[in-house]
Amino acid sequence: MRNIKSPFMIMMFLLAVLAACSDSPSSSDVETDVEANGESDGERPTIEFYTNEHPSWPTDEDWLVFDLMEEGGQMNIDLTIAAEPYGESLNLTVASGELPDLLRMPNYSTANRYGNDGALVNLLDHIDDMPNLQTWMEEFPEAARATLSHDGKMFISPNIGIGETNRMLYMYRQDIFAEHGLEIPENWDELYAVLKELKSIYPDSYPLGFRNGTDKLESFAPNFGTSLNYYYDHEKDEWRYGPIEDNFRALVEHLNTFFSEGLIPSDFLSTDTAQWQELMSTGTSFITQDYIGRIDEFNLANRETNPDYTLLNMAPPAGFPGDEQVAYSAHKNESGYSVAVTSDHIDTVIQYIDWTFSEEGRDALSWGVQDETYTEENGEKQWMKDYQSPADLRNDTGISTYATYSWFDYDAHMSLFSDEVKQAYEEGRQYDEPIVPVPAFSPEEQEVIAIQGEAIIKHRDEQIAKFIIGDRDLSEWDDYVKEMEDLGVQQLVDIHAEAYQRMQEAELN
Amino acid sequence: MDQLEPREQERTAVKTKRSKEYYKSLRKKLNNSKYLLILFAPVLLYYLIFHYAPMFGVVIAFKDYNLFKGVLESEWVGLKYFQIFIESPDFLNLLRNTFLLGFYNFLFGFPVPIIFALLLNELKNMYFKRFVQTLSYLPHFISNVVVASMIVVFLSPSGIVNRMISYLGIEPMNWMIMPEMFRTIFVSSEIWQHMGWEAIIYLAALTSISPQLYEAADIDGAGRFAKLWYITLPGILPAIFIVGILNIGKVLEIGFEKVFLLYNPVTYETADIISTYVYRVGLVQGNYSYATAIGLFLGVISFTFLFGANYLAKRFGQESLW
Repeated sequence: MRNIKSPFMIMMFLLAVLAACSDSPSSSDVETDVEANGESDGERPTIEFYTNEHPSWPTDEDWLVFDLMEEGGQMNIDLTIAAEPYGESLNLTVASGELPDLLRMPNYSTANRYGNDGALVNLLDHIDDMPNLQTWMEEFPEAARATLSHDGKMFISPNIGIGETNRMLYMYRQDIFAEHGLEIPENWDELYAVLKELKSIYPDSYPLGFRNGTDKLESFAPNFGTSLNYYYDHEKDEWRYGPIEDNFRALVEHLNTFFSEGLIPSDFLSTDTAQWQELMSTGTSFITQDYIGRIDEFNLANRETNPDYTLLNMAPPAGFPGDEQVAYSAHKNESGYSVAVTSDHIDTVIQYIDWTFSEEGRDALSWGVQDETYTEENGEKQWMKDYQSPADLRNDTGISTYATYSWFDYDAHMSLFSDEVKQAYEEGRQYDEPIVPVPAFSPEEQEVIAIQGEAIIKHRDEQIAKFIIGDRDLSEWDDYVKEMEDLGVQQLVDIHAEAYQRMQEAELN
Repeated sequence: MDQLEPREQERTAVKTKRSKEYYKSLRKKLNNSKYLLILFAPVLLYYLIFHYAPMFGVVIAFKDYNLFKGVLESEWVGLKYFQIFIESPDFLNLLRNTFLLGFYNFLFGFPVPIIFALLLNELKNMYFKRFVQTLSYLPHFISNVVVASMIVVFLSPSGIVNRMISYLGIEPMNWMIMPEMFRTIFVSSEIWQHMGWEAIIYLAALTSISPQLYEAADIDGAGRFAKLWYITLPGILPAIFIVGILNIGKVLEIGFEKVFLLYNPVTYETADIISTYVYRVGLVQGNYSYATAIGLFLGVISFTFLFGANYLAKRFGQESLW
């Protein structure tokens, strides 16, 4: 009998082990961990730092930035670069219960979800130990408030500065415009006229080229004073849903005309980044809307074959003649640091995060070390090495790569750009629409947004795309609005308004 | 008490004797086949560890799953997520798309490898046959991402397909934004991708047909077609049935990847299937319980399909899975 029983015992044991793996850590696990790690006196504690990397600047463990972080936090870093997609790697790590001490959180809502689940430290609980963050929050209360969860907790560190790198704007081929004596359009009617003109000169072209299909309407909608999503109208002090508004219809009408007259690529719905780059580089498209860094990217690459190639920024065309010219604000960054509740080194990590909000931390994590990587003259910092671009800088030092900053001095990048990009930054700012706040939702609200909201998103994308390509006649717009309302748009608007209200009332300290 | 005792003893004695005998014979049986069992053990373990143990995770379909608390400690919510799914406005559309895409894929995709294998079998030039065979299963190894981008490029307004049909005087079309074309594009590309690969099993079955049967048929004066009809086809019929039953079980399991890469908002009405929906709602937005509930729902339907197909196959006296 023993012969038969033992295999079963082994099996049961295996299953038990498997089941145990999927459990959250019991308190005893945590205790043994403390003993095992046993901080030997005098030495810096080792912090497990969990993050991911951008494919364009793969991580090098010897990067200067990690030395700076270790110095600033008085700690050693044990670095883990997670596999992509990061969101899923992060989920697995959280579900394993064995959390690293310091995590890069890709956005506020992820942080809030894990925070609500009880996995992350509420930074406000430790605010007394974070004098620098306190001072910083007084200076940038909006940025700080944006990170708060629905019940006023801060599970992710705020940040400011690096968001500039995500700035988006309209760009046009200055050389082509000059050659044919064309003028920069100031509104969408003029834009239409210019596109027509270009099309008649270059019959095979699609003068306005862009990528990401209907998602691009997110960038276009602010020109018309509306949005592709739920948005806060600062003037009227209310939340609204853009895609059912008359202004949005005006945008769709324009795009419908553009599509039927061949002014935008006929396969714009499936145009990916590579195809769009080809449109821009082969003289097929002359106006586009994308990240500001593309100016240098396209100019550098295309001037090798066409020395005249000049892509420059242009002011956003207003939706309606005479209206204010307003651009979509993409210059924000939602990622930050989170601390695991299971960490044995919460104090150290808290101290490190606090340091990133000090002026000293900002300078170090933006510029490196004075007289080693940069020099300062009359308050103006200059890089000592001759970096061609921020990408160059990142690959060399790791500065401004993911999760190596909280408070970034964007001049560190600015000094590296061509005059064309610098000028674009100067000019671009005046058209900024107010940034749409991102309220934090409770788990119940989140569920409604995910499930009911998805039906709304799907219907919106489907119908808007059909209106643009003419599969559905614009005379049916009112029916479409009714359909959207029936799907429960109002309920979601209310949820946003309520969550926003909570956010405004949240106490910061 | 005293009177009962001997009886009790007797009974237990019989019991122990019986169970002893039972264990003895079981032991003997186990002993006899111990090498087979050892050979089988890794397979058993594999299924237990990687297929049965994770099944425990489906309980989150009935729970409000909290990542950090884990599966056991999350709260029970009953059938809430199933209800949400069935009541969602997209439910019928999703179910129809998933079913139709899978059904057409089965209807048109199932016979093609059989016909292809039979045709290959008729080839007499061995080198040519090998060449064709190898060439035909190459697409199976191309990643779906590459296949999808090839399709998009070929079918774009200026793509090769439109150029070809414009020679025939047909107006170029923008195929990728025609909801009515999505199923055709998907199914035909699936056939192109997997035809050669799936023919392998039939080719293997063909080799097991005794050449004597053909010789006998030759003597009886049977032609090529008669041999195909009376010998070859019946010879691979069991394989056809088994593959058919398995494929029916997979009707709802359409690969997420390719649909996701090929669809766009305009084609949602025919292209959005349950797995792409699960991806958008469940995984992108982090609703694991909801995603699991839908997955389980799909699994139950697939199981019914498989079971039904097997029952029918048995009913008609043909090969079946069990």
